[in-house]
Amino acid sequence: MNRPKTYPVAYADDFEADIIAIEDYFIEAGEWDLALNHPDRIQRCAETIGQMPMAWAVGASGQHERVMTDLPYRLVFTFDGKRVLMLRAKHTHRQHP
Amino acid sequence: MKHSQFSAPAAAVPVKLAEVRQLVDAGALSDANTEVIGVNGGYTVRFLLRQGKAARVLATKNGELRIFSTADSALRQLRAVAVSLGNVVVRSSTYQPAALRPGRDDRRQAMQQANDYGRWLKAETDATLARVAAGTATIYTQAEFDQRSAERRAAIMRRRDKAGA
Repeated sequence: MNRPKTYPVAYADDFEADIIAIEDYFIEAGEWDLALNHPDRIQRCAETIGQMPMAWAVGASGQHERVMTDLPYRLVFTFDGKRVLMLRAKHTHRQHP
Repeated sequence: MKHSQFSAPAAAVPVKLAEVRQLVDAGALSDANTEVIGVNGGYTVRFLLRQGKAARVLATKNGELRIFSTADSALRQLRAVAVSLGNVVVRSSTYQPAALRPGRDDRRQAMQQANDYGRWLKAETDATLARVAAGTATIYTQAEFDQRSAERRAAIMRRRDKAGA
C-alpha cells in the first residue's frame, strides 16, 4: 500500500507570534508547564496537517482551519497543492491569547 | 365519575408517552380520568387510575415532567395516542402565565459572539495573508521553526528554574 504523500509545512511569523503570545500568557500566570506544553502540542498538531491538508474545511477566516481536539486552539492555514503555510494559531475564545 | 375513587395525585408516577400508548392498548386507561392541569407556564397531564393504583403524570423521554404550552396542545397529544377525551378534565385555575422556555437572548448572544469571533479571525488572517503577499512576512521552514521553538523552550525552562518553580 502506498503511503499518502506528506506535504511540507511552513510557518508565517504571525503564527510564531501567536505561539509566543500563548507562552507569555502562561509564563505570566506562573503556569510554566503549560507555557511549554501548549505550544509544543500546537506545533505537533500543525505538523500533522501536512499529512492531509485538504481534509480541513475553509472556516470563518476564509482559509482552512483545524480546531484541535484536545486544546481550545484553532489553526489557520493555506494549502496551494504543494505546501501548507500556517498563518495563525488562535484560541477559540477571542479574549484568550 | 367521582374523584374519590381515584388515587391521590401526590403519589403520581411519571409515565412516558410510549408507556401511555401501552396503557391505552392494554385498556388500562379506558375508565381512568385524565386531567390537564394548569401549572406555572403551561399544562401537565395526569392520569387518575382506579383506587389502589398510583396516578401517572406524563413525563418527557428524560423522565422530567412534561409541560405543554397550551391545554390545546396537551389535548392534541392525548388524541394522538388515542386516549379517550371523553373523560378529560381541564383544570386551568392553577395555570400561571410564564415563559415555558428560556428566551432566545442567550442564543442570540452566542451567535453574536460567534459572528464577532469570525470577523475578528478573518481580519487577523487577512492581515497575515496581506503581509505574505507583500513579501514583508517571514516564512520559516519546518527545520527553522523547530530550531526557534527549541531555543524558546530552553529559555522558558531556564526562566522556570531561575524562578524556582
